[in-house]
Amino acid sequence: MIELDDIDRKLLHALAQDATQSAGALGRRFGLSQPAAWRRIKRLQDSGAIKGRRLRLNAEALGFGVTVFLGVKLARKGQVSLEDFERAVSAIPEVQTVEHVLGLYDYRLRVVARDLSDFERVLRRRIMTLPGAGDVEANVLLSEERLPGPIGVSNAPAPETPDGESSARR
Amino acid sequence: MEASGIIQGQEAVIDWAALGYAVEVSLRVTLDKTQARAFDEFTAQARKVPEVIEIQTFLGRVDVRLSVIARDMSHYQQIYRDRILTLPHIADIEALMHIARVKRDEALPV
Repeated sequence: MIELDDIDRKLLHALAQDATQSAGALGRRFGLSQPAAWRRIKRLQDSGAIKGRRLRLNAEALGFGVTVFLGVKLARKGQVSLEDFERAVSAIPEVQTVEHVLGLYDYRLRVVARDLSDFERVLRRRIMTLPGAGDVEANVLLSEERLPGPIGVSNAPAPETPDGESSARR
Repeated sequence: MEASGIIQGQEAVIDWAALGYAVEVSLRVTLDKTQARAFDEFTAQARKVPEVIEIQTFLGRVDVRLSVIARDMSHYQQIYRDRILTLPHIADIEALMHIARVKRDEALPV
């Protein structure tokens, strides 16, 4: 497990909001030289604290107006292996994430579709036909927000955040 | 694509497990909808809990889902009791504990 100091946390927080900022710009913001900021960012990446970058896509602009979360319970009767189910569900392009969970459901799926009738097609042709799929519960996503998480930069003088929201959060 | 608003930005993905947060729980919350401001007040308070990393609202059996991370089960227990159960207008909560992420592909099937 990687130990972070205050500056690491600020860098992590800033990069989680905008990963395109250069080491020079981040260094100026947090009082580091460009090489020092670069070394810290590299350490965050090498240690696995940052596991990659994600493009924030506007799904609606691409014609995907509907996101649905499905809770799937496997039918216990058949001896369907988890691997078979996981392989089949991961191969569906409309399924964005598959999480194996413990609780009311066995799997949680995030599914995108162009509209509700497109979603019905995905549900009927792809999800319901999965090997071993039993109970399925659908919840249509209305809104979604990602929060910075417990990085603990709350004491920092509010930096200019692109969304203008995080400073008001505490 | 950035200019047309299809790409809204790039963000670093934090691996909370690498930072010592081993537990991730999905809390599916049903709200007391007789309260007109239940959604707004609940989400406003949930935002103040640092361990809440995602808030989603739904149309369906579940009203709101929170992603909560914790260092271990006793830490989770503490967050759950002190910060989650004290959130306003909760009618019911169900927890799903994450075991594994089988697929994480936010690409769109274009």
